[in-house]
Amino acid sequence: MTVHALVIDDSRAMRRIVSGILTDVGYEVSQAGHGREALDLLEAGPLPDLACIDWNMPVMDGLSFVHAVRGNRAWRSMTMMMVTTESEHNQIVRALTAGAHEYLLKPFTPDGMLDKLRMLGMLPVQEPA
Amino acid sequence: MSAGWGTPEVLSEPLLSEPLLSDPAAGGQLLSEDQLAAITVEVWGSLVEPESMAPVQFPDGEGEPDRWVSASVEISGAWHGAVAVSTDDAGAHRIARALLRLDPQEAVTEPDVADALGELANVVGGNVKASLPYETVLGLPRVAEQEYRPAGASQVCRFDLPWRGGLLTLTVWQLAGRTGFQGLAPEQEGAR
Repeated sequence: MTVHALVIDDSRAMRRIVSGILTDVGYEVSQAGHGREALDLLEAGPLPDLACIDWNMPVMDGLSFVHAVRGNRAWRSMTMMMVTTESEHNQIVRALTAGAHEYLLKPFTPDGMLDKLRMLGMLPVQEPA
Repeated sequence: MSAGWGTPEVLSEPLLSEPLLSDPAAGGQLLSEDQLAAITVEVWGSLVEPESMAPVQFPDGEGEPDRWVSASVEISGAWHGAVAVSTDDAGAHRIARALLRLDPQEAVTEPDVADALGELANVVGGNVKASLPYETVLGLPRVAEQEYRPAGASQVCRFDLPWRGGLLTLTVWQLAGRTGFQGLAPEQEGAR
């Protein structure tokens, strides 16, 4: 079964890094440069299984995106992981209270991201050859 | 799949667990070069040249000579400062190529350079901000074709990172207009 991920970050470099990690474990990945663009992708469908969300972005930031997703019943099954430099405890609490499922701090390693996905149960099952 | 609510069991710690920036009026010490170096090296090893990946190959003659590029992020709130990343254009092209994992035959565009340096400033700046003992906000990166030298600002610390034949300079600045921390009396500001 194909699993889909949406990477949301205003940095093309970061989108490429995150997308590369996700592609390597079997995700099909789409990208958005800010929260508003990501919402447009959700509205167009299909709903990704996972969204990796930066916090500080122009137009619409990551926290606002999380709030918007949680406000739409049709989107609530999507797993959301913040990928950000915001590390203060109160910020983490804000994101998780808003509806994010996990939190990954930048800089991160590929293994660090995969560990988070494993904790979420979001590592695609590798089909036997 | 997790329930999705509540604090995760394990959270990544900030790179440096102790507060790095403290109230100078109370005799505290601002960020040191060693501390900035530790942040930079950690960011470098994770984003630019991770050990898990082969080093990116660079084509010859990339970038314009005698041209500088800088990216900066401002930190505002109880402390007002900035973190900047500066290098020559050739270095900026190499950083962009490494961050984007481009093959030698792929072209690096000017938007790629701005994006890569901006993200470096964002991540280093975010980790410096994380060490502040007060609540602050990180701005969006800005990129300019010159060295970063804000008017009226004082340099807190500087770290030079030699890399692949070039030099990357990281600086932390205290910006004019907000000279101290929350609660700092005007007479104390003047004395500093």
